[in-house]
Amino acid sequence: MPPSEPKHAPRLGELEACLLKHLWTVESGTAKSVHEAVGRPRGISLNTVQSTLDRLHTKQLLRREKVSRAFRYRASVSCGSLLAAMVSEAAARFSEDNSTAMAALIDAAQQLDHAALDELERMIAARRAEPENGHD
Amino acid sequence: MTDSLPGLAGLLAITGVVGMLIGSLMAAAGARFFISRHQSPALRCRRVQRLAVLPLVTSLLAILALLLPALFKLAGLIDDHCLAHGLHHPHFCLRHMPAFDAGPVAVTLVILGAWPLAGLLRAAFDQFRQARLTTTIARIAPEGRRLIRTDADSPRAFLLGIRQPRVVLTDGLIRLLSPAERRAVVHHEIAHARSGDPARRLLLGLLMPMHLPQARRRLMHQWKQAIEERADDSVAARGQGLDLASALIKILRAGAPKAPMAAFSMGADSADIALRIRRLAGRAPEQPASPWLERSLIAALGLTSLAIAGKHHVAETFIGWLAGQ
Repeated sequence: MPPSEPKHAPRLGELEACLLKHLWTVESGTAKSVHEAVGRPRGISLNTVQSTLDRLHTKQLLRREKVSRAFRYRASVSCGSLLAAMVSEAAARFSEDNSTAMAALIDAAQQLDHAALDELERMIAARRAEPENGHD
Repeated sequence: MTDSLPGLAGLLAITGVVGMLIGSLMAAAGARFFISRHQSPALRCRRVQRLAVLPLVTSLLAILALLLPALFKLAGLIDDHCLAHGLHHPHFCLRHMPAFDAGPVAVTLVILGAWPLAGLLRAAFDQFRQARLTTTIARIAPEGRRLIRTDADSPRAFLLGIRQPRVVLTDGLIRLLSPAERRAVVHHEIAHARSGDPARRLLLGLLMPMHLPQARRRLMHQWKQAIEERADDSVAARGQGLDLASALIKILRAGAPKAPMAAFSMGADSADIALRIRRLAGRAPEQPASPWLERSLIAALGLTSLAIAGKHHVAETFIGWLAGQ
């Protein structure tokens, strides 16, 4: 099943991000197995891991199915698509708001007509043809 | 009317706001007359940053200048003359607190100060939201990588984060550019990170609400154009200037039809890319730095502060009039 594209990029706490990253690597796990792998080394209780997994499920980042008496969780979005959603949200905010913490190569598309672009391209070609730029 | 410390604080707050307005007018004039495209990007950056902080400086200077006579009186350097000339205006004096009527002071403060304060709160909230989003991205991005690649189609490259910014490249950009152009783009972003542009941007965002709307737009535009050109220069110094120029053209060609003007509120406000390409491909002569902005700013600030301190009765009467006292 293709990972669904989250409409609005969710915010993740440190533990949430850790559990999600763990489930991206192991594909699926129960609260107990996730606690063994991620929770115990950090001194985090099973209950905390359980409630964090619940929260991720509510945020629609995990799917779960009941296997015997426990839930088995797996990620419902891929790392790439979640990252893309967040980055495009950040980028969208960047273009509407000039006070964000980013410095972009191009912060807004400019309406340059093709003739102007052709002229600029010819200028670059002419510079490249100069002997000192021959290696470029 | 009561004589009290809150009265003095209220009047000083009004003084601060008046000082801020004076500073914002000076910054607007400075942005108009002392920053030009022919100056080096580094000089333009420095000047915009100095003008950006000016309203804050003038605000604090105005308060200090009006408090100076009170401090001199306390230190015994000048005579205590408050009672000698009556109570026809509030006294900025720590011995004889100004008699004040809270209502008009509050109204003046709201009229003069609410708008910049609202802008400051909004800017701080935007920064907070941005920081939360950036932290989340840093948490889920593969560890230890300074470069984040995402599968978005629009060709974009930018920095994310403030203390340890990461370079974000979209798949659209990677497909569009040649390896040499990609390297130039990444070095451009790294140059931004090395100059600390994300942190500067955050500070400017917080200072901008103190400026008049038109000056704010002008200053931000001048600053953006300057930091882009400075990063371009650092790429050009590595011999990759033409690669960056051709990357910019490719990005413009790919982006222009998909991004109608309405989708970008910044429009004319954005950095002028055609100018950057011409700069990268040609050799634009630059004006040598002229120290007149700095000299005239320091002279204006010094003279105004001295005038306020020297003619403090006039200033007190003016502030008293503004505060409805």
